[in-house]
Parts: sequence; C-alpha cells; structure tokens
Amino acid sequence: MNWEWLKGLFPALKSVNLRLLNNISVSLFSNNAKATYIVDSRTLNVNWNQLTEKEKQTILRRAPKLVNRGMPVLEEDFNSKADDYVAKIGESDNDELLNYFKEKIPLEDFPILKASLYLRSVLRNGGETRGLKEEISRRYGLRGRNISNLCSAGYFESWVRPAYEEMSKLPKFTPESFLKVYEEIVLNYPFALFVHHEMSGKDIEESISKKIDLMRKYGISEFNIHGIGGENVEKIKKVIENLKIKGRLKKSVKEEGNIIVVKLILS
Amino acid sequence: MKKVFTFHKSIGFNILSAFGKRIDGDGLIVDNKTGERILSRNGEEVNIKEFAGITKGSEIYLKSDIPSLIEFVESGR
Repeated sequence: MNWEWLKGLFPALKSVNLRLLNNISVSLFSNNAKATYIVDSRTLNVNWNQLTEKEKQTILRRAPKLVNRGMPVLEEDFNSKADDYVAKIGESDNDELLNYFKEKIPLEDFPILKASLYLRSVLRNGGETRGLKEEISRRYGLRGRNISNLCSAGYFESWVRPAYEEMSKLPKFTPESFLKVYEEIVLNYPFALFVHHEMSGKDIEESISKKIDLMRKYGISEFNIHGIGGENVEKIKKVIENLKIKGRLKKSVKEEGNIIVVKLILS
Repeated sequence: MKKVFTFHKSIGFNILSAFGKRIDGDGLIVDNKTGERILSRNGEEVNIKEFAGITKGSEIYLKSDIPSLIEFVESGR
C-alpha cells in the first residue's frame, strides 16, 4: 500500500520522492495549529481541523482499503502504547524470563505473564499502573490479579524460578509436579500478601492470620506484605504496629516513596 | 518501526463511519447494515471510549486494554 494518492491532496508532496513517502506513517491529528500538514522524517502529520470536507472524505474513503491491504488503522495513543509494549517486553530481563517460562507454565498464563511484565516495567519507570492492573484483572480474573501481583513484586524470579530449578534436580521430577506447586503459588502465594485499596485494616489482619497458617502448613518461615500508594502504605503500617501473633515474630519495614514491603519472620 | 495509519481519538467516529459503523445509545459500535453490535477479537462489544482501531482479518475491531493490545502485537500487527 503506498501513499501516492496523498500527492493529489497535498500538492507540495509532489516534490517528495515516492520511495521516501511510502516509507513513512500517516497520522491524522487534531488541534488548532494553522498548518494543514507537517512532514517529519517518519510521519506525515495531517491536521484534520484544517482539511476541507472533500479532503476529509478522500482520506476516509481510503481507510477501509488500507485495512484490506493489511495496514492497521489505529488510534494514536494505542499505537504509541503498542510501540512502548514492544520496547519494554523486549528488554533483556523480560525477554529472558519469558523464554525461561515458555512451556513451563500453562499456555493460558503466558499472555498474563507478558501483560504483568509490561505492568512491572511501567511501574519501575514511575508510570501509573492502576488502570493496567484493572484491565488484566477484568480479562483474566483472579489468576490475572495474582500473577500480576507476583510478577510486580519479583516473585517469578525469587520464588517460581528457584522452585522449578530445585524441583527439576529431583530424580522423580515431572513437569506436572512443578505445575502443582506453581498452581499453589499462583492461587495462594503463602509467602506474600498484596494489600489493595479495597482492603480495610481488619481485612489485612485477617489475611495475615490466614497467610501465617499457610506458612506453618508449608514450612515457610518468612513472608512479605506489599503495598503501593500512600493510603495502602498507611493502612499496613497501622496494622503492623498493633499486630498480635502467637509465637515469636520479627518485623522489618522497607519503605521507599509510596511503596512499602514489610517482612515478617516467624521463629 | 512499522508503517501505520493513526488517528486522534476525536476522529474515531469519522473513521468508524468510513467502515459503515455507528454508535448506539449505549455508546457501543454497531454495523449500519445489520444493526448488530460489532465484537472485538475476544468476543466483547466495543464501546467508542475504548475503540483503538481496526486491523486486518476481515476488519477486527480493537479495544484499548492491555490484553487486546498484546493480542494485536502478537498477531503480527
């Protein structure tokens, strides 16, 4: 699909080499600038507000033809987000982790892991992630929420991968035996609690009690409470201050900006 | 970088019109000829607020959420 037809709309493009023109993208923008179009090295930016009705119709008539010939017609933010996703998911640590877990975790969890790794990269770059988290939960339910929580907190590297590596050394190891452990981690993650904005102080206390029971069941001696956002950080600090657990318990708090991780060690 | 045709969110309605689609009273995209609501790749109705574009495969209507974006990218864009 080439852009030659645009030369009919914008006479100044007639002097642009066709090969150069056909290698660029076309973007319809909308603002009060006076220019009808701006060509930069990669994009022909067309100002929708400055087009005549006839010019608009000429462009719109072409849109279905572009799609039929294999070129997507995309909302500009979505296109930028797609580029951002490709860049972030291709970062070496993400790429390495995805390659490692390919064919080790259930096939249906793979897109969830990809979405979760993207979420984590956005989070690490200081971006807003609440919307992304909700989108993952909406599509993938509890599994989506849990995997994104585990992934954001680095548990695929610190728990799931070591679990596989240790198990795979055993003589009777089978992929199915790992999947059982993996399911337990994804559904119950006995080593962590993720506090979200809908949890009250009482909910947090109850969840800690349940997790401690699970820890005793699985012989795990420590677990982390994670919170992101000022409101969650304050709730966790308040609960931890007044926490009463049978037996000896050590606490350590790591707080950075609006992120808190409280480590509880049972002895 | 792949060659693409992009549009500002405010032009989404015009783009849909070019594909013979309109918006119903609930904000969902509807086919002008059949009157039926169009569905995204994973079978969900598409609200104009989350309309992210159209791609090949006899016109696949894209939603803007991250799972849809990943499906779009993984399908070769």
